[in-house]
Amino acid sequence: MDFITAERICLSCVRSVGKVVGKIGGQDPISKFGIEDTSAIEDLVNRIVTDQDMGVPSAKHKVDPNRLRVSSTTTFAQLEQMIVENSLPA
Amino acid sequence: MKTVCLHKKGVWKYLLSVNPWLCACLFAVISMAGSGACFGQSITDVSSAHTPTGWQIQVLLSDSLGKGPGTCKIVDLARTRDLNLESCSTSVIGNVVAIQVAPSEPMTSDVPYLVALSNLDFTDPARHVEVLVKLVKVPKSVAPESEKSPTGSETGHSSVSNSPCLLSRFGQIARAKLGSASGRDDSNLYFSGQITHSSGQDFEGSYDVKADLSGRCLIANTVHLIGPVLDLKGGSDPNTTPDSLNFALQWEFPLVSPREAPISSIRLAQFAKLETTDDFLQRNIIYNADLRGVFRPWIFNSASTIRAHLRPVVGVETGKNLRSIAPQLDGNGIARLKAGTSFFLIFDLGKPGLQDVTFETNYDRRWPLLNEIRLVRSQSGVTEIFSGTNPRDYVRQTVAIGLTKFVAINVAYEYGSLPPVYQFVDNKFTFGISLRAAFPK
Repeated sequence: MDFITAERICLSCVRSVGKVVGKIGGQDPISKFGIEDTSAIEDLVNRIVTDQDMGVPSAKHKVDPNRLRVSSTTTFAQLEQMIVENSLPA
Repeated sequence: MKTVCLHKKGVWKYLLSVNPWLCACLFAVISMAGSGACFGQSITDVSSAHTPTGWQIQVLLSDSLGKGPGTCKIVDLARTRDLNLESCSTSVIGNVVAIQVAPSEPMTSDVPYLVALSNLDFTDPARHVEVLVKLVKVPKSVAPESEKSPTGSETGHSSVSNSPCLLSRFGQIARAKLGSASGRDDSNLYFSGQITHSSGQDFEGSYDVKADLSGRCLIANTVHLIGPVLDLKGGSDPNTTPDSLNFALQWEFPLVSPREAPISSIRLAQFAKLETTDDFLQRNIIYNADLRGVFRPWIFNSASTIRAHLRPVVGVETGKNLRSIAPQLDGNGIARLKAGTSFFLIFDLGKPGLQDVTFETNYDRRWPLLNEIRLVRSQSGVTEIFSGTNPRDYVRQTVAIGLTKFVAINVAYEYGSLPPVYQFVDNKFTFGISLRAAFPK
């Protein structure tokens, strides 16, 4: 998985679970997109791990959900890196 | 590590191309002199990941680029040579540059590397920068389980936990991998100590502890949250909810997750829990099933610093009383319907000493279908025991002022009653400090 693909996945999933107003920066925490409580964070992880159209499976990869250590302070760039680091070909 | 903006044409690019060591030395001297970035634009972070296709380097810039960098270079300072790169491109979001290093290039944690981006055209503010450089080291990492050889040798890839999904949080605690959280709900570990003042009473102390150690398990292509959760509330205030201990096994997953709807998901949260006072005089064993609506957030300004969330809940609680302080209810069955909502309003200030201000309202109403205990403390200080099926309300309004990422000041208002003994709380105000932590990256 490369960073450009990971970014496409992050953008789609963050937009799907949260709300994006204005420009996204790599340093923005996901709380800026309204993903900041357990339910929203778990929805984001579920989307990244399982969604066939916008998640990691859409890139023919898989990822262990426990490797995505996401909290409200995780930045967009960190989320990308988690996906790149932990994705394996399906 | 400071980043230097090398904007003087020619000299720095020439030094970088012919003698990266000299460039790195000058860079170090300038960094120590505190010159910083010349125009404000800089490389704010560089991260790396080893993948089956080789090392990937992610360069985070302070501002967005209008177009991709002219050239990217990674210099191995130990061998004084450029690494072969497969690609270098700007991402859609603009301030991230992704570099793919050729698979044949080994990068090791004991070698410093110089990452250099040249011919950068920034937007907002529009500015051309000749070269930005940053010294980096790649992390020492181990292979995921699926990539390990039978002998367990390392291949340079990041690791995957080999513990069962239910126990993944325990491993994180053992490795002390904790980060900050935004509140009680977001926290895996939470402690709040409070000083309480109720009407007509002296100041008393109370505490609120939460430990959520549930792990994520992938079942039928859905991420399920399964594991133990502990809630402990107590203190010395006789006029408030008595010490209570909830030890539960949680199983939560999304039932539906529509893509284009105001609601992001409807989650089914099930708990098998022991609901007790801390002296175990009142004990209930409860099965709790909640349907929680996760609405998409409301964002009220362009900087996304003012946000609101709504989480309505309906559910049932059934079980059996194991021991009651009211003998006539000892061993009774328990059946309750429940409805409620949580609403959060967050002002994300992000200033040193004032990170955020959060207003949180929680409301729950329970309808016991079978007789349950209820404690009411009279003005004379005598606690009276009632039983019945009348609805029990509970509302809690909290204002949390985040001083740092981990520490917040709480002011809270409570009214109503909660299981297991439904001690009625009449207009209780609390003031305290909370520590909050989550399991992040």
